[in-house]
Amino acid sequence: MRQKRSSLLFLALSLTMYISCNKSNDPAEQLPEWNKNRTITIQFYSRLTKESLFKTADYSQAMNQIRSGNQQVAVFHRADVIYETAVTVNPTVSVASEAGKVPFFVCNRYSGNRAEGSGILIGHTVARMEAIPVSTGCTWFLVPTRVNTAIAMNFATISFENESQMTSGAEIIRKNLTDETVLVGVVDKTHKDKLTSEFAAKSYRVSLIESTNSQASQSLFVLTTQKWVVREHTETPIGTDGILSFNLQIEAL
Amino acid sequence: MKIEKTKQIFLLILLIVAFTLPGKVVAQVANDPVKLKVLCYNLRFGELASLDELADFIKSQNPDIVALQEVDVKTKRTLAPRQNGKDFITELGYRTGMLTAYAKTIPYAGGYYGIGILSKYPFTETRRVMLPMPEGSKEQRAMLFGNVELPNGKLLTFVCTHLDYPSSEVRLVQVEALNQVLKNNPWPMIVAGDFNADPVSPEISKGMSAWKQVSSSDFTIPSKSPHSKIDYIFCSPANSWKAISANTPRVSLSDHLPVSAELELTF
Repeated sequence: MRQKRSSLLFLALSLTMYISCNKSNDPAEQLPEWNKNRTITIQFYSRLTKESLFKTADYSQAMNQIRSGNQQVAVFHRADVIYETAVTVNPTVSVASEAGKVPFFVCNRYSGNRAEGSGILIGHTVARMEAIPVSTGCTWFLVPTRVNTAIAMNFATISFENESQMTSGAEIIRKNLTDETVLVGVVDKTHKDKLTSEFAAKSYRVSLIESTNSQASQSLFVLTTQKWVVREHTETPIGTDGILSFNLQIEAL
Repeated sequence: MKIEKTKQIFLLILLIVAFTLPGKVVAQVANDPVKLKVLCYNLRFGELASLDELADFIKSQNPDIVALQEVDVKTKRTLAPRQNGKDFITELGYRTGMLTAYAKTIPYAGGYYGIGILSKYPFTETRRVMLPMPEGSKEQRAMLFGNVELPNGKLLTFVCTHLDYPSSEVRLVQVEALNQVLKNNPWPMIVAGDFNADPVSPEISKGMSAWKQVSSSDFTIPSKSPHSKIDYIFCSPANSWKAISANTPRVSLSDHLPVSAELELTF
């Protein structure tokens, strides 16, 4: 009973946790009123640790959430592909098929019998996608998505584990991030200050999102030009083994 | 004094071994020849087989990369009612565990008709390039270009295509366009597809003469009593590729027979 109450309390806290844009470049900035018609939704699944996302082949909770959600993009951070002798275990394509989405996979590195990386799901086929290797364990990924007739968005993602990745990655981001790009990535907590300083220029907007899970060694970040702003995020646990689901509401200004 | 010097030399040797050996091992692994199995199959929009049957066949072949033609997404065809509303490429990816890329060529029956790639290994880039439609063309056709990262970290360009059917002249223009797009590509390449042309046609004999044809010479269409070969697997540069085996499995899941090739790629 007590456990149930604690879970409910945690859920309620998570759901009502509005973004403070922890590290927005300009805290005094006056934003216009939130236009929800120009807002995109991204669902980001991660443990925010160095572990792979799925420990078993049961993806049902994430799949149900995606199937019933209104997100334009879903990301499975560290949904590694595992090459077994007889089969390839690929959570992203499994969820995509069940949820009626189109899957992509960004490979950060090969390690033993697995390709470590992230899965991305969107709602339509595309004419192109691009992944640029930054350095070992780090890849820039971009796919154009169609939100609606009024909003064009290129979705991008990247994960930073160390400082050298960030130095090379920052250059690639500056070169490829346009007014249409929404970059949602993961950064090791020890390097988040470096990230915000790399993009301290007025032309960028960085929002760092910390998990309520004290075990998390990584932070989520959203990086855009001033044409976008994170309006709200919520964090909910998926299942009981540490998978976190972040719902991000990002407005095109 | 002497012992001290011996110690220093030993330490130096140890350091040299520590810093050079792993690099050499990695370099050797990265440059070792890579074996790949490639499959090419025109699915005839699933008229003759379910997606489960098609996926089971693909899995039985255990390919690394697959080029697929006549791939529907969410169509409602009267000729293939059991496939209505299905996203072929995503469902085949799910059933085989492979990663997917898709190029829509035309809107059709409430959905799309096009070509796709299944790959065991991740794509670093995919791109649809529309092929030209010279006079006499009937349908828009495309090439689907995918750069794939192999487990040794090297890239491979894999292209899936399906040329238009009306005339040799049309296809020759499309083959020239395909060659032009790939002219300066820096990676080893495989082009697989339904060329709608037999081996002696100018689009194959001349248009693809710079490529190494690695699929078998067996006829591929119609699948029940084949009398013509129009499905191919080509590789380039020729000296980087060795054909280990080629096969045309006799299955009736489509009006085409699939073609497969086991290849060895040297970097």
